Amino acid sequence: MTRTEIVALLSGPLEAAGLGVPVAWPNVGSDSSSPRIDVDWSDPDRSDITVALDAPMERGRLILTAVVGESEDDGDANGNALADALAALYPAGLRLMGSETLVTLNQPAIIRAGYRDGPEWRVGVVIPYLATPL
Amino acid sequence: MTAYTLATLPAFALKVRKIADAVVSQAAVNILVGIKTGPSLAREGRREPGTIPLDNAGLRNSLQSTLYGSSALTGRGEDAAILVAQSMTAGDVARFAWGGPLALYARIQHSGGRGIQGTFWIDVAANRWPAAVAGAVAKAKAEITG
Repeated sequence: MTRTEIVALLSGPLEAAGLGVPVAWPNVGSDSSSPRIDVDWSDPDRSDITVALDAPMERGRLILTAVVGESEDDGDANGNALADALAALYPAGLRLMGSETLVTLNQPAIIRAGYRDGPEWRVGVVIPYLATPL
Repeated sequence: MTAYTLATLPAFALKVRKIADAVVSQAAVNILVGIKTGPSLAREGRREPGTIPLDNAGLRNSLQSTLYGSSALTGRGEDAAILVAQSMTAGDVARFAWGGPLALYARIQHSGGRGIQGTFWIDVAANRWPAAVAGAVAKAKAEITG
């Protein structure tokens, strides 16, 4: 189970989705246009409850932020629609299997309330996951 | 080990309840004390992931804690948060929130914006919840068997 594989597995649904919105991946360029999707990772927690200490588990959260321009007519509809599309990519029960790692989504994505950031409106989508070795 | 019988069932139920209460309050305390304040932005300028950014301590001190239910409590600041956590019993609901008038920028510091990356300290704390509960259970077991 490697961090590289965990990131690759969780990034897959977003990469393959073809939402037609630019994605700001970590440490890749500095896209500030909107609409866009910001990708962040929370610090995960690792543990190993086995006697042999050879089966670590990682519990973390992938955080996608739907960023849209301010809109007096649509209110928060555009941001919520993009957030809904992102949440639909990561349904509860989804299992992503790599060569060494299984990533399981044990609960639905959490869509946070949107908030204004200058000329933009941000809606966070939190995807909790559990990664275990195969 | 104490052997319980049907006649002593109430005592057993009381013991189980006290253990559950201790696990809940200890786990909540574990989580709260695990949320660290980051290095001073003025001095080092770093935003450490999982920590509360430190500028003038306004954000850190804006923590509002509320315990719902029959033993309702509410307070502001880190000491109040620990008091609320220690007062929790099994089944209680508590709410811990940062922001408000003392820190209007809390959402951006946590989730990002204005060109800065969020530190997501709440999400990091949530990741640690199972470990916090496991630690509390281990402590309760030690108290029982010790």
